[in-house]
Amino acid sequence: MNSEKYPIEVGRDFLTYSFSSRGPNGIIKKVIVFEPMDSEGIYYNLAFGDWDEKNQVINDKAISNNNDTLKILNTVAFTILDFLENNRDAKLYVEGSTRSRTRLYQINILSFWSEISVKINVLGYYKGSWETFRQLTNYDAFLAAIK
Amino acid sequence: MDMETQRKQREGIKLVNNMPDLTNDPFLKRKKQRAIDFLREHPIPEELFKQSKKEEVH
Repeated sequence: MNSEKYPIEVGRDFLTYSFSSRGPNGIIKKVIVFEPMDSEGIYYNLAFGDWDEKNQVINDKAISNNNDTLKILNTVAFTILDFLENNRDAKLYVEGSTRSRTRLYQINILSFWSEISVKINVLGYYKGSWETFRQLTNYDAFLAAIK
Repeated sequence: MDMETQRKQREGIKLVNNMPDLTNDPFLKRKKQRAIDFLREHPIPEELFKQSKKEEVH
């Protein structure tokens, strides 16, 4: 994961990360949250979106068009790896808010597959069941855990 | 500076105290519930994770 990425901040809970996208449409704050789904802290859900400063909420529908998709995805991938390395029993559920965003996650996984596959087990949900991630399949959702 | 802070800084991650409180964020609540419902319907196949770990060892 040595590709170009944005400087990242993390909150004291080590579950909330943020960074600022910079491009023709200005500076747009992005937030990544690893949200526990159970009381044992094993299962987590990945949430990612633009920070709406005015309403103090995450906006998952915003399309920032800041010409930096790859850099954003690199940054998100880096935070996922950081989170999993610090929560080695965690299983992370990843699904985009739309099919095209889920597809973007898949493109990102593929871009770093040689590095990811060494460190992380990735499962994909395809046609009604979970399976070990295969490179030429379009998945509906992903599960990731450190090896 | 504690060790965790130093480690994060080495990795290019800055620890901050002013992260927004997202406890009641509607998007997070919605997305989390959707994930819980999905995983309830399509449970995580723990054996696939175990299998992958085993393959790593051999």
